[in-house]
Amino acid sequence: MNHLTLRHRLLMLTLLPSTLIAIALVAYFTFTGIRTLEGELRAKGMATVRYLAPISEYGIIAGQFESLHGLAHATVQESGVKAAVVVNQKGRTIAVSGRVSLSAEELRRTLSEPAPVGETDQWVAFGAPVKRSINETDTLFEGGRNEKAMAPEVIGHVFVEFDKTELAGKQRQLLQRGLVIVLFGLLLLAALAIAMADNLARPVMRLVKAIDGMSSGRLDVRVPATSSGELGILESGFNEMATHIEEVHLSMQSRIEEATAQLAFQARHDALTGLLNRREFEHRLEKALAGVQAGGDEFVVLFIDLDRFKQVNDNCGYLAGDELLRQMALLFQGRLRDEDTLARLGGDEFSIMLASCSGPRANQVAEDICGLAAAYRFIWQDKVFAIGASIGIATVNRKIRNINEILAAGDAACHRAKESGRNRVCEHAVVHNPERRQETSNWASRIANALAEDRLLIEALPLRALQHANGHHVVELTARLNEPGQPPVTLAALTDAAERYDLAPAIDQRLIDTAIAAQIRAKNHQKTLLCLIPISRASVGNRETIDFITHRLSSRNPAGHPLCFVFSEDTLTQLTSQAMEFSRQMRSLGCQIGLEDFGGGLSSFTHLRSISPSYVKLSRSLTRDLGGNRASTALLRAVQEITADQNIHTIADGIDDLNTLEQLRGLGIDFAEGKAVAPSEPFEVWLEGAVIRSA
Amino acid sequence: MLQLSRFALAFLLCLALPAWGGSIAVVISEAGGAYSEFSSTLEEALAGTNWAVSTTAQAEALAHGSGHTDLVVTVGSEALRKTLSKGESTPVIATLLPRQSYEKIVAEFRRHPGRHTAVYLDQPAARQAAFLSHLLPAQKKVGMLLSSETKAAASHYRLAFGNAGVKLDSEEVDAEAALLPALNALLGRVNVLIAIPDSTIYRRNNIKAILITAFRYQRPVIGYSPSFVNAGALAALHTTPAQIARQTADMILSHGTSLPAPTGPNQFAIAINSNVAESLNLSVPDEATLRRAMLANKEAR
Repeated sequence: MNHLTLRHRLLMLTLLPSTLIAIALVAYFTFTGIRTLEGELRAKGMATVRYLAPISEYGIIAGQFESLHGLAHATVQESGVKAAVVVNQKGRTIAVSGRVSLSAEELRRTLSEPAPVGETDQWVAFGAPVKRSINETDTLFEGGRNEKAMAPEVIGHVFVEFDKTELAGKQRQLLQRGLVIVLFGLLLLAALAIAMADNLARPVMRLVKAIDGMSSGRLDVRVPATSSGELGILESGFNEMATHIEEVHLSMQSRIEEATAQLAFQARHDALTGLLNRREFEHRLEKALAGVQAGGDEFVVLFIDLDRFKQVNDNCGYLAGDELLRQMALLFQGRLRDEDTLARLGGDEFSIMLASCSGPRANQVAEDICGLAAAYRFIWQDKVFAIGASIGIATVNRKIRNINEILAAGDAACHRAKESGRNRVCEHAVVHNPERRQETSNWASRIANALAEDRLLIEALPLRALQHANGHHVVELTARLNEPGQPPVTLAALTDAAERYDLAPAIDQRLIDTAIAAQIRAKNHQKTLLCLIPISRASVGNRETIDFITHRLSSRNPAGHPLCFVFSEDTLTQLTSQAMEFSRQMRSLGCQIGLEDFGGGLSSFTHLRSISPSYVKLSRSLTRDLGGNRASTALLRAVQEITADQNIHTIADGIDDLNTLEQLRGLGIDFAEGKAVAPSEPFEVWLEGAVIRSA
Repeated sequence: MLQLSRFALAFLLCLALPAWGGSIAVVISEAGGAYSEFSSTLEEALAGTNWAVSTTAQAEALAHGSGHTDLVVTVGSEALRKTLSKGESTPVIATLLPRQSYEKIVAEFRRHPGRHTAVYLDQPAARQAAFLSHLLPAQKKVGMLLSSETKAAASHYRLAFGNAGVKLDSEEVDAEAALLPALNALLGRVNVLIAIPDSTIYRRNNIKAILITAFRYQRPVIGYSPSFVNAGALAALHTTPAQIARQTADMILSHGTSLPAPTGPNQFAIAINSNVAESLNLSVPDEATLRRAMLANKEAR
């Protein structure tokens, strides 16, 4: 019962009882009909003999056998009558018609009333006595004998036989009709029941199917809400529910898609600048490389490293750094074609893929961008920063096997640009040497090894007094990392790397030691030597360095001209209090302070008061193109006037030609260094040659 | 006229035998029906005379020696038989019985001599002939079934019918089985069948057969009682119990215990079955007309 469907249950519920009732009814009526037929036959038989008997009376009395024969014949003509027999008082047949089945014995029996006299399956026989009819006569004339009590005399019998085959036929017909009625009724009932069951079950089945559909994920499935009553409520309720679920699902889907798109965007883009990020850039680079390898045009990748980004970041905080990066991104973007790809690889590194571009044109673009970056001034609150860009160019051609080679080449080129003094463009042919990057990333051990193995080459940059030479030797110390098979690394690049690994103070200390030793030696030879020692930012804010200097000066006790510690204006801007403290300490030790890169920012002059330096190294932007630029000359002259007023000596560095030298001299600049003065040479060599052996 | 003569006779008798009377015992065969009608009519007729009905008893309940009576009037055949069987000497007047029965019973009790007379039911042959000629004047051949009991009377009838110009034919029937063949034979020869009271021929269980057979032959049957007419006879000449009672009363008053010879009914009634007449396509006069005609004819003679 439990495994039946709703439709089957309904069908059973309607069909079963009605079928039983129909069968019972038809069976009852058929049976009754059969009984009635039999009863009718019996009644007809009895009636027939009852009528036949009195009619036969006179024939028997009068012996008119012909008329009796006629009577019997007429009786047999009746439907269903098989035979008719008239017998006389002695049981002798006197008239007969039809085929008689009753035996002679049975014909001889005496009856008092009409009655059935015999029956088989084929026939049934009825008999009746023929009685002499009695007339009421005048009793007065009766001969005195009392004849009243006498029963009517039986003068013969009539027998009639009925054929039952006709009855059986009728009964069979009745039965067949009953069966046909049952069958027809059941068919009708079945059709009705099926229609009813379908009517009820179909909406339910639709609902079931719809629910199946929903559970298998088809949320757009609906049922036609055509039913009435509870089913209708169910259907519309289901539809509402489905609509609701679908809406929720869709909105969730769209939210998921939004989130996915956002994630995908974020995965490909840099959150800060909105440019492509490193991963996406590498991906596009791979595609572009594949295009080149498949025969496409060569292209160029520019690797841009912002100069002095760190200063902005350290001086004004990350917000400023972020803003700078955004502005630079916009700046670069504005210069590029649509087909070029600009990405931020991380930190202050950008990269540009110049599609279908190589050789001089790429160089032109790189120079262009470099100029842009150099000319750009980043203003944050009251501070102005000059930004530069070191750009490495890597040309991608068919020989390149993978993007790591491009990246390494670009990186190396960029590095070279940085090492060769920033804000310039370097091209680097791609070499199949992926270890390069590995090594650069291994600065810590390189620097440590260099210090330990004394591979740090200390060099001297001699300064020339432009105004009035007093025979004093003024020299600036610098250093260069010499490694076998590697290009030498400048102090600026070295310091950048060393600061990252906290090794800058060690380099500084080496310079300091060298300077102190040189001063002592010069003093021993009665020479006056002034050493300018560049001090890294880390050392300025480092208590240990101050302690080291204090200890070295007190233990070695150098006399004569003191040391001059030079740090950059950036350092002062970022670590103002530490720098002031450092200056105070150094001055108490009898040392002097010099400011590097002076005049690059507007804040330069405030520093003069707070630090009171003895020397300032002028920013190269002031001294670069003195040639015909009156503004620059005026600016330089103003700086010179201010410093002179404060009794601060000015130094112009990187002076490579005599013309400039003469101009500087004319402007009143105190010292100059560069190739026009003297090339840099190993400090020991210079000390021996220029100081010890000088006259 | 008859009445007047009767009164004159009674008056003469009264003169001859002055002032005698007596008690009468009435014995009836059965209670009710014709017998009661008879006894009540008799009592009425005797009222105011010296004769009075002292007892009225059924034949079955007749007791021996139940008081003295001067005269016994039996009503019906059974009453006569019972009364005679007692063997008393009281004079008996037997009434309401066919002549054949009276003679048969009297013959049975011949050993007990007694005085008795009868007023029987059988109509006189002359009256029958007159009735027939008035009823069916065209029919001149009539038939009659006779048994050994009625054979003797046949000559009377033949004579009477002859006088009326009608030929009487007859068949004798001695056995039941011979009835219908005899009837068939007779009906083939005659136009009308006249039945006379005969207990061996006309019985309750064969009257129908006789009537049907006659009807087959399209012959009218003239019976002797109203029942016969009801059963299908065309007409009957009969006398009612009341008529017999009055006749009996007259007899008692005029003769007293000196009994006269047995006699037939001197009054009559007529019964006609008009349905049968229609069925047989006969036009018959109605009863009153017939009776008047018969009486007129009698007087005229």
